[in-house]
Amino acid sequence: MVTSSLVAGDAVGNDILQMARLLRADGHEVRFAAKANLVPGLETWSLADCLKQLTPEDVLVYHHSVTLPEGVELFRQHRGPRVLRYHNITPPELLRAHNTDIAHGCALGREETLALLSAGPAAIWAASAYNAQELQEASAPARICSVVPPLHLIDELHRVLPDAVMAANLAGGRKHILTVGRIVPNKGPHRLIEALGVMKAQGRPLPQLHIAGKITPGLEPYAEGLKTRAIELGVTEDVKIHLGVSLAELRALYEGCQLFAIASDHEGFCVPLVEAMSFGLPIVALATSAVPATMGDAGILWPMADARVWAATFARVLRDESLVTELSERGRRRYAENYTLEKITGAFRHAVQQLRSKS
Amino acid sequence: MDLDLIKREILRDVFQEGMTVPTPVSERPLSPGQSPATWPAKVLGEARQAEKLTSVKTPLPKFFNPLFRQQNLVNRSLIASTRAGADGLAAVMHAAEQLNDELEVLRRLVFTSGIQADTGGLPQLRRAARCSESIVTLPWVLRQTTRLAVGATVLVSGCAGNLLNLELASLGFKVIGIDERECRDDHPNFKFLEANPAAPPLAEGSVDAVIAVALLGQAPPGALAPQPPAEADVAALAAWRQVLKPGGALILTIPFGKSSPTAHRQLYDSVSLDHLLKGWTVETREFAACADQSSWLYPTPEPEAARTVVSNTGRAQAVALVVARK
Repeated sequence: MVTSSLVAGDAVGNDILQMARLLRADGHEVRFAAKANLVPGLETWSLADCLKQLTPEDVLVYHHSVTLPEGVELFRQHRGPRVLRYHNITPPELLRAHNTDIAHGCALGREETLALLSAGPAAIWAASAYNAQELQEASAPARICSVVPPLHLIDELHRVLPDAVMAANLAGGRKHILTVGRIVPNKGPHRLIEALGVMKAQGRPLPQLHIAGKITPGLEPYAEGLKTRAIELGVTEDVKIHLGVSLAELRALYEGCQLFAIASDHEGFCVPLVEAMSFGLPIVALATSAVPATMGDAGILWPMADARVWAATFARVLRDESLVTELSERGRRRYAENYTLEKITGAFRHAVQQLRSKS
Repeated sequence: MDLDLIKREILRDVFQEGMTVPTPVSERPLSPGQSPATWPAKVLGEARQAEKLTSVKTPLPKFFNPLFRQQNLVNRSLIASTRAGADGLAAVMHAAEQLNDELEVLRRLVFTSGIQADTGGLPQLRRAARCSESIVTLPWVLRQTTRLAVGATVLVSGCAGNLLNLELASLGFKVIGIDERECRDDHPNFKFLEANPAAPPLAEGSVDAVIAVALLGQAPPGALAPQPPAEADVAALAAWRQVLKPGGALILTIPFGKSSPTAHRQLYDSVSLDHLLKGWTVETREFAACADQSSWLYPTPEPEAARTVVSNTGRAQAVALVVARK
């Protein structure tokens, strides 16, 4: 398993570690190679050493989510079967106005996608149909593409005890809205603050907005801008930003909030959506990229991010108990039918089996 | 429970608060009386300043490397085509629109300059171009302009990001382009107005023709379905009618096919198209459709176009091509 940074807790890191667990359970030996390893106690090869260690019988699974030229080179040079695991890469245009270096990295990552495809992977494991379509439009043969949603830690999220302090803060009569994801412009948390501002201006009962995520280095001004905008709109006390929450805190947030909102410009799959479904949290989402397909009919999907429309939607969901019940049931059903670890494990094992039969 | 019904109720709720049309992009004024949102424009503005200051970090010479430039073209075409930007369908994604603009210019330049697709990246670019509805809509629009006298005043609503302004201006038309996005086209016969293209701030009866390519259908399909046309589109046609001279021509391209909640734009069907064009004298009503999500074919019979469904990425697979007179 080759990746840029191995981080426990993020979507890609969870996917890699869960894949390794399943493959090992099926009798395979799994090794990791990463530019940076942030998982304590996990042994990894350096990317430079990786090629020396591999034999033509070994399968290289390349997790592609950021630029990693040396990883692409490794992918090209490996003589055994190569699998492209495609998590998608943020389109650079979404970040160019905020940080040109990061946007440039995204552009390079997208160029590397083409290089990886032209290297002739034996299989492509796309995290969503959207991702698969994207690659196929870039000339990837459909016959080698499988859709395998990200292997996640939702079962663990349901097992851990909710953080008591967070749970206490969310208790009481007030309603709470949650969004989860990196605090970056393309994830759109500013749109939710705008909607909150509209609710305040309209004199509607004001929920508290919880933004849980991490700030990407280089995009700190954006996170600061969120606070500034909250001040401008007079909703400072109504916006809570939670940086680097633990699983226990995350569970408390999912359990304590009454609505999950995601106004992202671009998602390759969107694991938080699935987490919200698993908790039966009503969802309001922006219909972009993979979001409509991941969510299906399990929430309210708007093709536009107009703050007035979103404010009205929040108000409606938060006061309409029958709508909450309906959305909650739809979410739980969609999760059970499509995204339980068992279901995704099945898709993953099927993809592995296909690779074996080809090999 | 019908979620579409709930969404219509929500929109009605919003309309009652004085909002006339749903604004498709988030970065818009928030409430009556409030100035255009300073956020994220404010932050974007600051970031742009910062970008200017740090632009020296960009390895400029790289852009003059033909291989890099070619890869960059391919990369952009990949992004645009896969994010439904290549044919301008992702109206809600402002950034993608901007990218699409660039792509459109690149695409036209590539094809008009006769560059051969015999090396690495260009096949993908050509494929993206072939899949885009603009491969048929823009040439079709140019074909329709033979109805207009040389020197006629033509309003291009939604003019940013394609070569149409310059092409029309070069053909001798007096072109007025309107867009909320930046447009840097420069030509003695071209004037640009930064304004809402669906509500041109022009005098009544002042133009001979209005051209709107891929501008309609940007209302939320889930919200206003199943009965388009969207109020925004009806309002746009009314505004264009006002600025047209008597007998003036309205040249439109409209996404067409079976409506879908995953479509990036509102898709019109035969009935809703009739409704939209009510009161106009329709001279031409033609269709083009994308076969196998790869090649656009014109003309396509209306029933066949009406059967098309959106692609997996939410792009319309058919387009209505209309010329109507005031």
